[in-house]
Amino acid sequence: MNPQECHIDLVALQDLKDIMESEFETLIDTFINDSNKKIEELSLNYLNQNSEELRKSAHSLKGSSSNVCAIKLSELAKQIEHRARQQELAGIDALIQALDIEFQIVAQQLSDQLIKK
Amino acid sequence: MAIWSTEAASGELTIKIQGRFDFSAHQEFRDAYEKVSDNLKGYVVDMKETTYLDSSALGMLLLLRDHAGGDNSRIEIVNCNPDVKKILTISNFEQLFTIR
Amino acid sequence: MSTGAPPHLDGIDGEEVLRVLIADDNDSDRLILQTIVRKEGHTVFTARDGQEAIALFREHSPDIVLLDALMPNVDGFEAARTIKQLAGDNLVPILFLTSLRDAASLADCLAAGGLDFLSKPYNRIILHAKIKAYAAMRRLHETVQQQRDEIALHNDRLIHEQEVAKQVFDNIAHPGCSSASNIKYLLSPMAVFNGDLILAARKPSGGMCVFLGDFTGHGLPAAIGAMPVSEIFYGMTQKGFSLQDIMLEINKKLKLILPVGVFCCACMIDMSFRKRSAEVWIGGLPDVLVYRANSRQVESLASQHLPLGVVDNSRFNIESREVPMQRGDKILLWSDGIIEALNAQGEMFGEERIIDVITQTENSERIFSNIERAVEQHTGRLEQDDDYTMLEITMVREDEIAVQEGKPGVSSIVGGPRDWSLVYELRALSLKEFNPLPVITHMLMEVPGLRPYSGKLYTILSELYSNALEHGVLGLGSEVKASADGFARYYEQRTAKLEQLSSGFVRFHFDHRPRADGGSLKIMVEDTGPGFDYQSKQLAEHQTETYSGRGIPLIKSMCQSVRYTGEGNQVEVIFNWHADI
Repeated sequence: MNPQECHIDLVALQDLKDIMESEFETLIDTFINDSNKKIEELSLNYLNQNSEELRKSAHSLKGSSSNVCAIKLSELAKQIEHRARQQELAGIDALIQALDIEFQIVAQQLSDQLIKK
Repeated sequence: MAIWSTEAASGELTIKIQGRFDFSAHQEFRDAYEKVSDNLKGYVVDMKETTYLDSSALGMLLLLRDHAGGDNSRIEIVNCNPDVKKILTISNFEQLFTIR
Repeated sequence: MSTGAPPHLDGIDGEEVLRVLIADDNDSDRLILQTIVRKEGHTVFTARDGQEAIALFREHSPDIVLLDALMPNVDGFEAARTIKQLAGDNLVPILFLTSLRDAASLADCLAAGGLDFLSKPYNRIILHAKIKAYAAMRRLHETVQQQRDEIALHNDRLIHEQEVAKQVFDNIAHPGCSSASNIKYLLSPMAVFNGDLILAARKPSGGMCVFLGDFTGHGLPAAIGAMPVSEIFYGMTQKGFSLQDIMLEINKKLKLILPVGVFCCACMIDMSFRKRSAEVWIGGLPDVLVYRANSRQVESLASQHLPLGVVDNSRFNIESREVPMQRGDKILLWSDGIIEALNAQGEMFGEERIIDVITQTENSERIFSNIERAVEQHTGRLEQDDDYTMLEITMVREDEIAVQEGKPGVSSIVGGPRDWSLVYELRALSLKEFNPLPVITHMLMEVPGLRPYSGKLYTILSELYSNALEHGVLGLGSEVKASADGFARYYEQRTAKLEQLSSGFVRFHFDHRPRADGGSLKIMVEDTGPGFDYQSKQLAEHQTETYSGRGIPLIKSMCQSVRYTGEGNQVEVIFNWHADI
């Protein structure tokens, strides 16, 4: 599946839904709240030019978004993590912006899944 | 150490012991005479390739003798090298076995 | 610390229910993992950071720990190190939850004690497989640990038991008087468990008996036989029994108690300082060496007999050798350990080297230590590392050795009757069905120092008694025995006459008096028979059938005097004996 076109791996998400059952709603709520905080942190770390902290927040977001099958979001977080590790913060603001937009889309799609249910 | 046994048509069981004949041979030596037919006429213990024997080997020979009928047993110990022969002689085993 | 509880098998598909600690600061990740693991049937404890994880570990001691690497407060690496420390000897598999990919970070996880990784996004199948694999590993470790603990416990107990057993063995199989100045010996402290035994005791007559034994095998089976051997040796030596009697008794006992294939190679030496000789019996031990002080030469005495405990007494040969010895002569003996001691090239020390050492030693006092040193040099090891058993006994003057128990010689012979007389009359009914000889011999053996003569006395008494009964009371003529079928006829007559016997007696008179170096026993036997013309017989110089038929020459060879009195129905023998035979 092409991550550029697809935001969420729906097949995998169905699996996750099956596992989580009634906990699925809590999971989505938790993920959205958590990610909101993490993206805030991430932006702040960028503003502070703290590449180490930036790397950690990106790393965390990469993991959690991958777990909810948000593959594109995870990929963007990974790129930020990578740059932060290389301490190449120049031009990273564009990635953060893309990440923020992607998160809005994912949050919307995940919430839609709850309504669908 | 290795032990082979062969049963001749004459009803005689030959047990060959290669290398050191000591406690490590215990099970193998027993198997050599216990896992064969009962109606044997006699036994030959061939020590041609036996390099050494210790007191537990003497014990094993006594066990064979017991198995073969004690005083009525017919056991020959053959082809002993001088070291092996000496150990058998010290214990005066020629009183219990035919040593050739 | 092991919980000791058996694995709980009520989980999904009958699999073991584990207690799993999950630590992840990321709420959504933790929620997913927790749900998956719970669905596998396990019990889950969750923590938000390393600090909480450590606290939960202390509280619940879970079976498996899943740790996120990057967490606030205490991170996964540090938590892992602490948990590992808390777990001690127990294996608590730690799996790192990470999407870290770089080798350095993974190496950090392993260094902190992690066994494996679970990467995000979580995959149920991989998670299931890994938890299962590490649970199995944990169980295996637990089993190994339990077995290790059991073995350690068992070993402790075994060592304790051996220590106790060794005390018992040491008390019973003690080396006796082997501290005497004419004895040198080498015996490892754990020798009894190697099957080696050295016993030494003074005889009531002042002589000395030593015994060196080498049981087949090792450990307790080899040690067990040492106890009866020791008891018999000390008990009988102190009572003055002969070497033959002692060896017979030991052989009988060992044949009875030892399983086939277990036996005792042995040598026993009965040393008489006054007679300047040693009586030696060897069965299955390497050649015993006799060192001559004058010539500095060595004579070998080869084993002539089967080891002890191989055949029963009917086939057991107690023939011994009498070795005349001068003052300073030595007897050296050993178990096969010294002969077979190997050097780095796998070459045995051998008898020739020993003989070389002996003949090249100028000062005979150094022979023993020179042999020890030569073996040490040969093997390149220290003596005490090995279980060599070696004994040297030197012929000395009796007054040169320290007195052990009581004084040696005549004056050590105390505690029994030495000055007494007794009449013992056996009448018809007793003559018919009772053999008085054992009880008489037993009574005579109470005389201190007389024990070694038990065989001779028994022979004398039985000759005298059968003469008195058969030729005297029953009136049988010994001429009958001369013919070919006479013997059988003689005993038929004896049985018949004995059955019909209604009167008559055989009367023993004993009179024992102590003498400077032993004693004098007078035995007079009278019977109610008609007697015989002993005077003419005596004149015929013991040539007639009747006279020799009565076994008198045999008795004469053993006694000081044999004298017939009265009608020839009384005979008196004088048996003078010396404390040291």
